[in-house]
Amino acid sequence: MNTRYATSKIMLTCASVLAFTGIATWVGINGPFGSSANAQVQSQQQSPVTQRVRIRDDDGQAYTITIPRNSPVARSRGS
Amino acid sequence: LDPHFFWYLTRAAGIVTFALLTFSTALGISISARLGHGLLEKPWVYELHKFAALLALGFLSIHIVVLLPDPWTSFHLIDLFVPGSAAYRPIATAVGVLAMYGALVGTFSFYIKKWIGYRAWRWLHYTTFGTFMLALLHGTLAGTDSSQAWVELMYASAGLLVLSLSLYRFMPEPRPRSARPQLRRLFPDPALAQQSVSPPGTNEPRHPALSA
Repeated sequence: MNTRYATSKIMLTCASVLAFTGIATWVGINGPFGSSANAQVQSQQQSPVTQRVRIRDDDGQAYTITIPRNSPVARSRGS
Repeated sequence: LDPHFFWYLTRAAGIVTFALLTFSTALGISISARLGHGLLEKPWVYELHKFAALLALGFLSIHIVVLLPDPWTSFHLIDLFVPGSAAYRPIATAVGVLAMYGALVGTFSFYIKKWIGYRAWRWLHYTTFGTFMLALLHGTLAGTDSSQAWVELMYASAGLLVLSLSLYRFMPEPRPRSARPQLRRLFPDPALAQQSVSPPGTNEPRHPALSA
């Protein structure tokens, strides 16, 4: 009976850890915000010091981000 | 290190926590509904039901703790314990915090049963139905991956499984007409009949697996 207790618990733990690592890897590669995820710029507003950009991620969620115009991010995108 | 590393971990941990919570809840209802023709009434199955709930708490801890170093959502310690204080999807995270408290109550109720008594434990353990609903709502509303087809399928099948098992569990049990006269013939004294199904002096079923 003790063997059955231990076996069932070990199997459940192993399955959970495998699922955890598998899902973490999958969302890291394919999921929203994963390394191959995409976002599209919807609109941009500029002021003398900042740039407000509205983007939509590939999970359908929209975000507005404000970037200082002299920041490395803004410069790297040629703004 | 990928800047979203902790975000990936919390999402994976959340999905595994929900799967384990579903497994534990479904197993608990199946045991108490006496499904499986006696197979689920074995002590090791009941132990597995308890262990799955504990394991769910372990992954829940990962789900919560890795939010703190995540630079994108900016969670503070208070956001993890006070419903509604998080700036990130406040309603959905508040539901998640309530589900966390429900999971704690449901799981630790196993270990205080001998002090609070069977009847109080049973009522306390019924909170797991609410906990499951809150976890499902939290996953649907807050989950970044909720729009993925396989995650939608998981939530739908988990919800349907627990709902159908609950309906079966609480459905009035059909009893054969002849059962009562037979019992009366075997045990003319009602007290003796009670003792045949319960340990002496209690109303508790003989096996703890049958008591939910």
